[in-house]
Amino acid sequence: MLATENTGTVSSGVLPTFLVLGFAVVACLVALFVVRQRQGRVRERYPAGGELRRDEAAPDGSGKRPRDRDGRSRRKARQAVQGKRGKRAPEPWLNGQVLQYGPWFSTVSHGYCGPEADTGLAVRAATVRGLRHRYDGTPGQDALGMVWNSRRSSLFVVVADGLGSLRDSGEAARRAVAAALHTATQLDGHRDPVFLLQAAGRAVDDFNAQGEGKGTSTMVVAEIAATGAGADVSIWGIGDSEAWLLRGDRWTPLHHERGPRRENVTRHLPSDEAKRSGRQVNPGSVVLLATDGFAGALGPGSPLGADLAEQWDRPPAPLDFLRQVDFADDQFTDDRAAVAVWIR
Amino acid sequence: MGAAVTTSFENVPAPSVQAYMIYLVLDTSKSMWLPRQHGGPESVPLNQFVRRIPRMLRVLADHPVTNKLASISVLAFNDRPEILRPISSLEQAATIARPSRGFGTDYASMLKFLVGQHRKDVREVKKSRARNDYGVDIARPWIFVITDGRAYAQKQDQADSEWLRERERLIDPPIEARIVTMGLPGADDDALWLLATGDETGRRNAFIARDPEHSDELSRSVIEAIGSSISTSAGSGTLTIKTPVGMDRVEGPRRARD
Repeated sequence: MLATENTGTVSSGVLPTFLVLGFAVVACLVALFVVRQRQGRVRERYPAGGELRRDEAAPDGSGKRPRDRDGRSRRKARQAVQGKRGKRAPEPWLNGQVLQYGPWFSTVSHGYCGPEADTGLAVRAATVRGLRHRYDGTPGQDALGMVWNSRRSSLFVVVADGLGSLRDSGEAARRAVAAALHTATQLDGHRDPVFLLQAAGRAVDDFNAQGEGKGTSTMVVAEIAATGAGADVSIWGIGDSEAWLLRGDRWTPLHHERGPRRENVTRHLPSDEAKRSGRQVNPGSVVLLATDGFAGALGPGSPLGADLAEQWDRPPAPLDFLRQVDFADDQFTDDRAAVAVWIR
Repeated sequence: MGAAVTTSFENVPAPSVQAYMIYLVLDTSKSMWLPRQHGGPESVPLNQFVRRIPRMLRVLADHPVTNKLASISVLAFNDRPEILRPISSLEQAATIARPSRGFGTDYASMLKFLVGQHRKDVREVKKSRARNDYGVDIARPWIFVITDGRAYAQKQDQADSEWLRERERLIDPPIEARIVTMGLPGADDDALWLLATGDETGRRNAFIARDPEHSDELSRSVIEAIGSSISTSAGSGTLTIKTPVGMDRVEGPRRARD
């Protein structure tokens, strides 16, 4: 009897305990499942460099997650790339410096930046090692870079073409772009961006003076300030790398130094002065900066220009952009670097 | 790329592809076809080059860039110039005639011939390279002169002034040729230096071989120089090429050095 009473007391205390423990285990499993799902979604959202994107900081350097004007967290990736079944794949927000230099391979990057998620700038950038360098087993010599400067609310784009007559011009071009980007991040609203080219020239000078190699480069720089109703575009250029504006089916040169082409002589860093130009551009325009290996195929009657005008009504998928930069023509054998910026 | 061009461009020259004209000029004067002392037929410089030139063209044709962009002509000269291979792209089959044997080394007539020939060759290259979509720009020609002699014509030494006048016509606009001279041992280095062009620092593309047996290195150097002269952007139009293996750069006319 006593034993029976004791058993009944034990049974009535164990059951609720098991129930509580069971609920706790189920809750933990559900929580774990939800967390894993969310992590998976974040990875899906940022297919290109997604792990890094989760740590992105505000452009003002405060460490806080960037926010839209209405105060909502701007974690949402912009849909700008055509994906499967008509869906548009995500577009990473360009934060920090991007420097592309592919001496032995092609490179491509994409992203967006600007004061507003939906009215900012969509960027595509690619470098392609030229046919000559590929065949000779020598490094490509083009480099490019871009960086968003929140103090000026503008995107800086830099393209450099190492001169093939000097062996280490690729490395000189890379250093020139790195120096220009570093200066661009520090530029406040009052300083003239021509400092970028001066810094790039000093980097080339230092490279040659240190005896690490011998090289030099052309350079073209753009500052693109999205205004909400288009953008203000300023260009600085030294040498035969070019800047173009595409509006509808009309190409307009923003910087070029073309003349009679009897030889491949070009102005270059650090000795030559930068030429400056600028204009306001409307939404829907595309600003292109490119080395002569790509831009040299643009101009009156250019089939490449006609094709791009048809295809660039919206930013292409990154790999499509790379393919467009790597257009096949066995008489355009130079390295190619190109950055295209779609103005919203 | 599609053929329909509806795009409009403003205020910019039309895009174009570049074509390069290369002349290989071989001295076939008497000293080039006489066997070297104690040497057999193999030691005859002319025989060596006659054998090597087709191989050089094959090597150049194997390079996709040179193949697509360069047109090459082979000339010979002694008492008078002659065309061994008319200017044509490396893709095109072309015979290389055997050079005739002569006695003199008439630089003046060779240079004068090149001045006249260049205009015709530009037309030929533009015609053969014409494209529907892009224009064709002809780059400044490169002329590689392989010689072992000193200027000698009509049974007497040719005065420098006589052939330098023709050289000026060749290197001045509109032709603006760049000349590389490669001398075999014993060549007149003054003549090599005076004939060659160079850069603004005074260095010229004049080279002299140390060893007569190194003609294979000389031909390799010519191939390398042709390759580097094509489609390479530079800060200055007056390029100098690297000193070929087995050769020394002529630093200036001996008259000025002594």
